[in-house]
Amino acid sequence: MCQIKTNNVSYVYDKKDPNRYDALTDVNLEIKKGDLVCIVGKTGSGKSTLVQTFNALIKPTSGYTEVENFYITSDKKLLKSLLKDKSKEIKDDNKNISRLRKKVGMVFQFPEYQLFAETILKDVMFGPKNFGLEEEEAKEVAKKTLLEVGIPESYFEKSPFELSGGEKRRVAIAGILASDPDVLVLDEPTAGLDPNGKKEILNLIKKFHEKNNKTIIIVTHDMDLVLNFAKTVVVLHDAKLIEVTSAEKLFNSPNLSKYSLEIPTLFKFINLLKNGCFAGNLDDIYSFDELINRISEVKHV
Amino acid sequence: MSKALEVKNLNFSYDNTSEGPQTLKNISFSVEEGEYVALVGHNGSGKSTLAKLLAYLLEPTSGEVYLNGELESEKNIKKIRETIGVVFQNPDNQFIGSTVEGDIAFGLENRAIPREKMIELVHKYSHLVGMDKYLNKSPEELSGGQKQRVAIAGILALNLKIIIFDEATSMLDPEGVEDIMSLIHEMKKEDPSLTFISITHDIEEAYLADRVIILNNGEIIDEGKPEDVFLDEEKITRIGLDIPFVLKVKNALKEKGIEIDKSIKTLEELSSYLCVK
Repeated sequence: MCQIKTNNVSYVYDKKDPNRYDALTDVNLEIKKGDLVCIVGKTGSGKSTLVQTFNALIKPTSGYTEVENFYITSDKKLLKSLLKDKSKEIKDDNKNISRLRKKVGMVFQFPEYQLFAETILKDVMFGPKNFGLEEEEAKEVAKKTLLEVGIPESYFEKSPFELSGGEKRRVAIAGILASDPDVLVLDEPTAGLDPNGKKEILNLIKKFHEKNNKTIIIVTHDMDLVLNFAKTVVVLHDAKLIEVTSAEKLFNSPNLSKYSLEIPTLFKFINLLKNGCFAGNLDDIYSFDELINRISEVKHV
Repeated sequence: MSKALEVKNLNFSYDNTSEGPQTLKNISFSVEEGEYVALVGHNGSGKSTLAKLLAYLLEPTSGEVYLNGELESEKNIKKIRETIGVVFQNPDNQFIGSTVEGDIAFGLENRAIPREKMIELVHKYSHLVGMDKYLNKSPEELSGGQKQRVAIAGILALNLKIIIFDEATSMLDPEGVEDIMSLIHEMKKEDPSLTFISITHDIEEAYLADRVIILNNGEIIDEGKPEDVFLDEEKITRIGLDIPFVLKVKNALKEKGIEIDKSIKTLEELSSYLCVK
């Protein structure tokens, strides 16, 4: 079932600016419920703009984004005609935007920079309270979520600023998870973390995804993450949607460099071996262990 | 060669006592003039604190830091600022100007660089980091990565002798990181006395350094050439880091009984080695 759909979505920052550029041009994308999507593309390709239309932080300047029964556009005429055509609820006033934002949780880049409350628990309670839970309910939900992301009870009354980088980020993500969104959007969730911190965050996202078949959308430059994680890969380039594919297909495609995408080191190495006429077939290799086994097979002959 | 920086028995705790939690414990090392040193360690290992101590943005609880043989203290702070520049990870904490142009110019203004020269430098360095088209933009119009580029330009424009990057490229895409690193290499080629210290957990970047220092829980646990310090995969993984891909392949093949010559350092070398034999 399609959960998010963009219909000819375009976005232009500041129409009056003579140096303006198009952040998105006619993007048509469908995201299925329960999918795990990585959106890739070089800086400025429109990735962050696109995902921000999913919870109306940015409204398309033309075309519209559909999230279940919410329609997001700044084109008033279009919205009116959509209203007439369909019986679905149109969500354009502030109260409804809040419902949309509860549905689509957004974790920004370096979310730990947005921690603010004096205790970890209060920080995580902020979201649920904002979406209408009573103090006590919010506290329960926040406690449960913190434990789920691996923050022990002894930390709850500490200041978030006493934590390490990876812990801070887990608290920041817990703040979004506590509102139990149906769709979780994360912008560069692993940037700036050490390898252990990365693993922790990815496990946490995976757990949330698997628990209730939640839809996950990750904007990233980390191609190793894409390789090991994505079910679907969306490639953006110069504000346009280029393709919807799988990690294996993407990293074996000659188009990678055309879209300024980094090849994961594993595939860089496989390509070097292929070009150097390695005496074995490497076309079906997708993991480090497979590669090592293939090399040792060839070498031991 | 002479020592650009020398750290002797350095201890640091944020509550400035020897009883509280020690962020850095008995750190000693030196950095030669013109050297490229990578300081690696997991989040919270004390790397950023050390960067601040090197630049005298923090004062040691005990121990000393010498800059070109001279003890760093309040007395020679002007000289320290004229010699060492640090680019930190969070660009929002460093953006001072109201525009990109103003921000890059800020440090130059402080140094009373003549206006003509200043304009020239702002253009030169904004171009080198790929931000020359954004000179009139304000920080809220920029992405995290773009702000990091601006912060880097602001420091590079000052023509300092020692540059410290504290996770300064963490928000850039891989291509952007490569651009900035080759810019640093170019600058080092032009001025071989330029000392560069990179604080990072990007192991592939650290692998390119002249020397690597590994910090774990506030202590130096190893230092040496990258191909030597990263060899012990088990140890490196245990302290929460990864080893470079080339070494990972070499180790895995060794386990399968295939020894690869120690002289092989890069992906390219390893690939041709495996293709020939």
